[in-house]
Amino acid sequence: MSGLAVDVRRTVGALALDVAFEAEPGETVVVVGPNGAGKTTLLRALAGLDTVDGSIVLDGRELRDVPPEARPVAVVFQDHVLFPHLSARDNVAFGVRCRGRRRRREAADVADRWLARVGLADHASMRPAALSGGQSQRVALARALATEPRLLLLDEPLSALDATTRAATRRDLVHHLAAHDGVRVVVTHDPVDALALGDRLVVLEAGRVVQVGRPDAIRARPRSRYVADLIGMNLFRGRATAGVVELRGAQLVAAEPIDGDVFAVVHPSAVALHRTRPEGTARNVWSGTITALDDEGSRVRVTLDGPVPLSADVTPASVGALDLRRGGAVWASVKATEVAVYPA
Amino acid sequence: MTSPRRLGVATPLAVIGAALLVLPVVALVQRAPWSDVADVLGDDAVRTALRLSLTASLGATAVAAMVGFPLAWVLARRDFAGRRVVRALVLVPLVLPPVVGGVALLLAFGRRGLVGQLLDDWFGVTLPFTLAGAVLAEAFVALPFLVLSAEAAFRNLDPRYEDAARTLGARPMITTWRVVVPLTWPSLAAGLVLAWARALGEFGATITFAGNAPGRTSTVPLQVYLLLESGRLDGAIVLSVALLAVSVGVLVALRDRWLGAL
Repeated sequence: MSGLAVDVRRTVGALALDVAFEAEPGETVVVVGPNGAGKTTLLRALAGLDTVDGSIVLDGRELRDVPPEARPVAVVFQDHVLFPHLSARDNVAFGVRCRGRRRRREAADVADRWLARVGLADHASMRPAALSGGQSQRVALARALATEPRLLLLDEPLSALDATTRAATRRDLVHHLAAHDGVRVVVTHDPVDALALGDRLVVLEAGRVVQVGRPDAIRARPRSRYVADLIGMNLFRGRATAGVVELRGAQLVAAEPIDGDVFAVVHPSAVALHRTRPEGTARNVWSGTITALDDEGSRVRVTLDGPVPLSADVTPASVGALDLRRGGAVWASVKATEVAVYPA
Repeated sequence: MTSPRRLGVATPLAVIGAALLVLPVVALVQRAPWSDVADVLGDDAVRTALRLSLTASLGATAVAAMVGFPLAWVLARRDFAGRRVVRALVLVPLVLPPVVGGVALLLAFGRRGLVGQLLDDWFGVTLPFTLAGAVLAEAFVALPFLVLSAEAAFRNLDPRYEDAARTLGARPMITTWRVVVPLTWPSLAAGLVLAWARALGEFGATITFAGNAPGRTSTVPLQVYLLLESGRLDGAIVLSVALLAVSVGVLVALRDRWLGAL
């Protein structure tokens, strides 16, 4: 009976949240979805800060009507929400005192140990205003973990950080989350964070779960436009007959002889671009108009509009060689073996 | 850099306006019989008035704080039908002529008043013409200052601090004392000081509701009036200067809040 079982419903304005998922102790579930999908509402419900219908069972105990201060749950808030009038030590000790009913001295010792664990032993007496973004994130994490929660909630844990501290903090976070023996639920809109932190992903769109699975499974077989965009894949859906997928006004040929309603994905690097209609073995050839060119350093992402809207990754050198520019016409080709298909 | 300009009509009027504010104060200080201060302050009636004023104004501030802070909290944080009406009602004592406030208090808490009758019948408590009555009258006029100041502070406090405290296991009472009060304290203190200053100077509502009974309800402002009526101008001036000093003290104490914010 240990672990978390969530099945909640709540309507907030235009959003009708209806989410069910389970998580085991020691597991990090990342709820990922676009802004407005209901992630924060879900997190607040789990914390007890908003009321919901349904049930929230943690380690066999129904928490739905339990006030937040009585739940074995801790939250790392977006922007961290450290108490500005308390030192880092007192911020961490706050929860220890409230949860454990411990004395001041004892709580301060516990706080110091947690601050040392996140590498901030020598920042214990500093006020939050004097801490950097990465440091305050670690204090917030220490503050939550120090209460020894059975469920740890993290709301966009890395979004308040700049790019340089982000990668390092993400690595630290993976490490600290792994050391916590309860359930972890992370809410984020960032695909990189989701894939790096999650043992399992719950993809939320417009208040509903559209896909649940391990990151690699979701990466291989996305089932929604959002997830496909998230991992940078071209996603199509249509009716297949012997591996030929009928799209609106076009066909997509896959190597696998599949039938029925299917999803098909094509990695942008598998899309080849040409100035003239290519002669060759590629089974899928379409013309298109370039609507965007995004330089991503080692590669350039080309967005095409045409019978089959598509993204293609090319090298910066080929942008010049093929004379690619916005509004220009190109031909795109994809080998049938590069089209992955699976039932919808 | 200011550009050359002709002396318009605004500047002379501004000078007159400033003079209107400053001249009476100057006159008061200039006429103060400094050599008689000890005599006046040694007078029993004056000392009693000072003591009464201090007791009544501090009592009124305490009463206002006890109900005013929770009222401000509810107005800032809870969403309920009629909240706008309640917030408007909080302002009533601010714009109501104090003497009207006194009459209203009499009709509510007087021996035959709406509530006063019950207080009298059930508990044998009568408020009019007692020190408790003076406290009530002063609390009535002081309340808006405290509520307005505190409500603004509570409203400006990010509610996520309370969320964070509760998810860390703090019951609402702990959250209030260890998070909300420390983070809003400057504004709450300003509200307390303003309320106290208003209570200390209260005249109209007090004399109407609590009367002017020497030794019981005759606070400093009432004593000033008594001295003036009985021709003892020097005494009136000394007490007036004492009240003026308190006002200046309050201004100095709150200067950062006002001179900075306004």
